[in-house]
Amino acid sequence: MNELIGRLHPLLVHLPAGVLLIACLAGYAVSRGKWQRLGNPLAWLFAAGSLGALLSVWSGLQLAQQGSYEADTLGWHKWLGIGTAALSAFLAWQVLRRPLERPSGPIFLIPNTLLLLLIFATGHLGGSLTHGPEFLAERSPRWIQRIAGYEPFRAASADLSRSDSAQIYRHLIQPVLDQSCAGCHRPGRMNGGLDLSSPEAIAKGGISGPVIRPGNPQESELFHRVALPAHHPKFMPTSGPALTFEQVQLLEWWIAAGASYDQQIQDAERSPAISRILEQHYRWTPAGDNPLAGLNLPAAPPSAALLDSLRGLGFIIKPVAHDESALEVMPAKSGVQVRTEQVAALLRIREQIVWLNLAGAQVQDGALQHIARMPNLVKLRLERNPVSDAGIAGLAGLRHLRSLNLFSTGVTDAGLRSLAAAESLQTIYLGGTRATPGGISALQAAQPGLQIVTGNP
Amino acid sequence: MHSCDNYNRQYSRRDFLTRTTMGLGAAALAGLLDPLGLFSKADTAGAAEAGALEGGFPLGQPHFPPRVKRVIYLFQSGGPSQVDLFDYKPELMRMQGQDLPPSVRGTQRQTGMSAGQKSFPVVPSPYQFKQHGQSGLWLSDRLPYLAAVADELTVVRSMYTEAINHDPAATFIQTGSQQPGRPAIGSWVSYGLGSENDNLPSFIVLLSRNTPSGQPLYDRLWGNGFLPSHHQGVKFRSGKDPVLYLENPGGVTHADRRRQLDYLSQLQQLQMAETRDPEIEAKISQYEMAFRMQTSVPEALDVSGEPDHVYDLYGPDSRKPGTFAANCLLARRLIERNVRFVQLYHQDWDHHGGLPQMMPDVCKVTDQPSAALVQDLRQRGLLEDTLVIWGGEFGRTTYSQGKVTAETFGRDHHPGCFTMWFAGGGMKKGLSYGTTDDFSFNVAENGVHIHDFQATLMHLLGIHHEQLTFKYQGRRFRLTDVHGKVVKDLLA
Repeated sequence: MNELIGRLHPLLVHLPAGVLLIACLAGYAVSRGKWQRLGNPLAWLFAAGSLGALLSVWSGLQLAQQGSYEADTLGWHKWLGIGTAALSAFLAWQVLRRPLERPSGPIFLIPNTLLLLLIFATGHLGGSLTHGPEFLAERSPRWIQRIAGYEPFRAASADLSRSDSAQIYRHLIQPVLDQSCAGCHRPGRMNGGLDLSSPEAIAKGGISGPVIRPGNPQESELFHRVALPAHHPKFMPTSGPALTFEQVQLLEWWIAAGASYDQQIQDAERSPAISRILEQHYRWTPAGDNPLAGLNLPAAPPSAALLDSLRGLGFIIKPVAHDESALEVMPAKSGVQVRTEQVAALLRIREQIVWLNLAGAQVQDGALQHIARMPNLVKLRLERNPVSDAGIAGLAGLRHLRSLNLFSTGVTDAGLRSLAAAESLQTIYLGGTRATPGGISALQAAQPGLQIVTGNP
Repeated sequence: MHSCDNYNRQYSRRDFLTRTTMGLGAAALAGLLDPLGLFSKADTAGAAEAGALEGGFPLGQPHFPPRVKRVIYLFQSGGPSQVDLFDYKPELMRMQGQDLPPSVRGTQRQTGMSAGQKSFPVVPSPYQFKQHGQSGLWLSDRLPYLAAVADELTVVRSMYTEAINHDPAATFIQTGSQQPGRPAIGSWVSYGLGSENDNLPSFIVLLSRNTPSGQPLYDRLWGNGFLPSHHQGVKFRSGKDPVLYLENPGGVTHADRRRQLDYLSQLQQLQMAETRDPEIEAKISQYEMAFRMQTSVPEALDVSGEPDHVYDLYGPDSRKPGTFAANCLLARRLIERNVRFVQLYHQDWDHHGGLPQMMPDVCKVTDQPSAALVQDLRQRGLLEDTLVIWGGEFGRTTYSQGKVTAETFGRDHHPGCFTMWFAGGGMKKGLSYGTTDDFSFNVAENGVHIHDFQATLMHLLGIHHEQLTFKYQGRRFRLTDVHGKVVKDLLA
């Protein structure tokens, strides 16, 4: 019974609000001496309004017992509601006491104004409790949002292409929960006693218990409810767009994998379907796939004007892939000499160059000193060039260099000795050089993991 | 005004105003209603990015960092027999001469050449199979050179296709459709990724001349289809004129040609201003490319500087222009010059009859150069980001077409399963992928469809095969049509 009374609260509460609103406005009119004959109905309105307000307070107190509303807002709403009822009762008494007299003076006008403000304040807080504090703000024009101090929701970045430590929960699941669930399930609202805004709160679950059974998506309310048919009464979210098919699949995958809050995408087993979603919707590929993992690249690409001027020097300069700031560089024409000054000009984009192909471009040792200043170089092709040990020595300082092609260059064992310290190096091509088997095995001993490809069949 | 004249007409101010009244009105209204742009999205300006966008990506760069930058596709036209080269089936010895069980034959398509046979006698391979390399790759003794690079290879034994005759099957694997008219793989790659050498085409085709027989090859196999025409494969011929009509005619000097092209270009610009036909632009750039190729092609194809040990590696044929071996060597030289896609065609694999007589010859011609190419690319560090593909348009039947005699037999076309091998960037080395049944007739496990192969190839090149599209006649086309899955198991 009490529950029903409680649920009638939203119904009851609008009656006194409307009645009292009219009473207040009529109160002004009557107090200014106009429409004297309304004096009686005014008393009547205040009486009815304050009675309705009392009923609302009573039912509201019942509802406060059952719902899990945010305590702060609820407290204000409760006391302002009680205040509204009390003030309206006072005004009704004022008017009823002398029904034929024109209500006037501060003793009437001050409470009347106060009541007007209370009705709006209480009503707004009530609305915030049931619909969420952002119910109005999120649909308001930007300037109102700014006044209200409201920051519009922004979907978390869906580009994980350069993140080699992306986590399933943090980068894939929580953004979806924030976007689609947190409107109602968050600290300020907690519909069903459920807060989905943080790992601790999710683990706690709602009124009906935990919402996740790790390893078992079908038994997990969190997955079950969003995967129901959209017309099902229990379908979530109740408002706003449903989760996309990919989002539902990711949620299922996360719960099935144990619903860990810190597991990395890299470490989880990925079905082909999941891999495809990760790749196409988040541009995520396994770290081994990403040749740019671990590089410290400048965020901003070089200006188009700078790139064009370097292209004018006879280079093809391209991003390694769409939306990457890492660049690959090669001569625009094969068989044409690339002079040391041209290579020096590339230093203006030295941090962005990751792949440099100068094969057969008659590059001199001098150019290698400039190349040694390109900190993010991963792949360097110098094959078929008249470079020697002196030039090669500088390359040992390149910390990300993984592949170095010295096929058919003038490098000897001395050059190899200087490369013994180049730890990032994974593959080196030494065919057609003057490196001796002894020098090569010394390099191999210094770097057991290095793959050395020689030209001798 | 005659309606034909519409083609020659530019838009006039009057046309603009009469045709765009609604649009202008709407734009004005939007300005009145929201002068400060309060209700518009903040980042619409960023969407107006320069450059053609296909599937959300600009052209000329990969969608994600690629593993492979260049491709050499050694197309073995005719359909090499997987049973005699790669797919070792010892069980067949026991079944020799017996009828292929109907349960195995199932409902697989057969050509009219053998479907009417009274019996389908199983023929085991006359060749010895051995395991090679650390990976233990099974190979027939017809491929001794390939055996030496076994650990560099990724062999897919479970390829299957939909077409059963040469032309549709070759068209299918080269363009993604059995019907002619779609762009070749190399054209798609050129279109999507652009060129990396201003002096050479990005898609070059080399045909073997040392083939005694073979199904005809049509130029449309390397055609650009509906893509802009400068993406078509350029056929390099052996002999003194590698690209037809490239050289200046007698009496025309280099400077004369330059002046001629300049005038021609002016005329073309006039036409361009009138019709806005993008093909004119393609044509201008083709003329310019041809002019630059007058010096770059002879340089790229001049193998006189190659040392003897290179010729020894590719075999004696490599000294004879136009042979498969010579073409393999040229392919390496073109790849060194950053050509994106080099496609070789070798015919002579269509062994309907007389297989034991023909197979050794064609293996002899192709085995050493194919293996040498892998080895040469590896030595030079090119295999790291170059993919070599070897394979035909389908496989061959495990049963004999026609009578089996002590000396000879033949094998018919077989789309149900065949073998291809890959070597190079991004592939798992020393892997044998997929299996067939004991008869090498049906795919048993991990089948790889033609579209899957194409999707995987695009993936290696850094392209989402589903997102590289071209709108033509109202539809967005792509290499893999509406199919294709990237075979991740093949990737390193």
